[in-house]
Amino acid sequence: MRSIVQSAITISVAALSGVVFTALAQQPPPPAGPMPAVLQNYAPVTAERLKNPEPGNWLMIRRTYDGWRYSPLDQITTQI
Amino acid sequence: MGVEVEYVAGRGFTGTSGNTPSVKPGADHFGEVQAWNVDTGERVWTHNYAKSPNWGAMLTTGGNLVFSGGTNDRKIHAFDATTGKLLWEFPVSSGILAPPTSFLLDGKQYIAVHSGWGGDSRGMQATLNRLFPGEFPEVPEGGAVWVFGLE
Repeated sequence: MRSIVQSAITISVAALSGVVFTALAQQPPPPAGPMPAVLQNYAPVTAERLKNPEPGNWLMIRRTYDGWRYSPLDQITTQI
Repeated sequence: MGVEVEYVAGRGFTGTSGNTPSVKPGADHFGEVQAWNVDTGERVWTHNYAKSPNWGAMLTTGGNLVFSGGTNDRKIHAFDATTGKLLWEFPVSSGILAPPTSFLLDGKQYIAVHSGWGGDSRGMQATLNRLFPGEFPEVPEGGAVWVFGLE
């Protein structure tokens, strides 16, 4: 892993002040834009997918029912 | 820690000394990561955390890696699954108790983990700081999801 880029999505309740909430509540809803591709291509989570999840997705707490907490993905390796 | 506790029939037993924690004199570490061969039942490698208990859950990957947080220095670690060599570590905003996960987005692999220290981990850290003032860092609280990818 030669170099790693990281980003954080901070869940900050404090940042959502009451003032901001009030202001948002009084605005009319923005016009609905086109549905983002990530939602257009969203594949429903079915019992079959949970039983045999594709390698690229992590659909439940330990990924598979056998609880291995193992990802078959192999792009990130031991090679530095 | 590291001390056998006597079992007394008819009395409550948790295998620990209860509310009077202590550190065994001469102990050189707290937490460990252990790799076991399930075919032979033998321990293959061990990584010791000198100054931290290990509160972290594990992720293993097809890239032969083990990812885990768990330490009071707020780091996520990556080990070579075969040898146990520590290949990478990175401090995040709070301690990591959660299991890392991995996923593909547009064909690229990412590692994601939630950081958020609290509960028993915070309680033990407070105890360590009480027993050994100044020797153990305060661990900031607060939840964040961190996502890592190769550049």
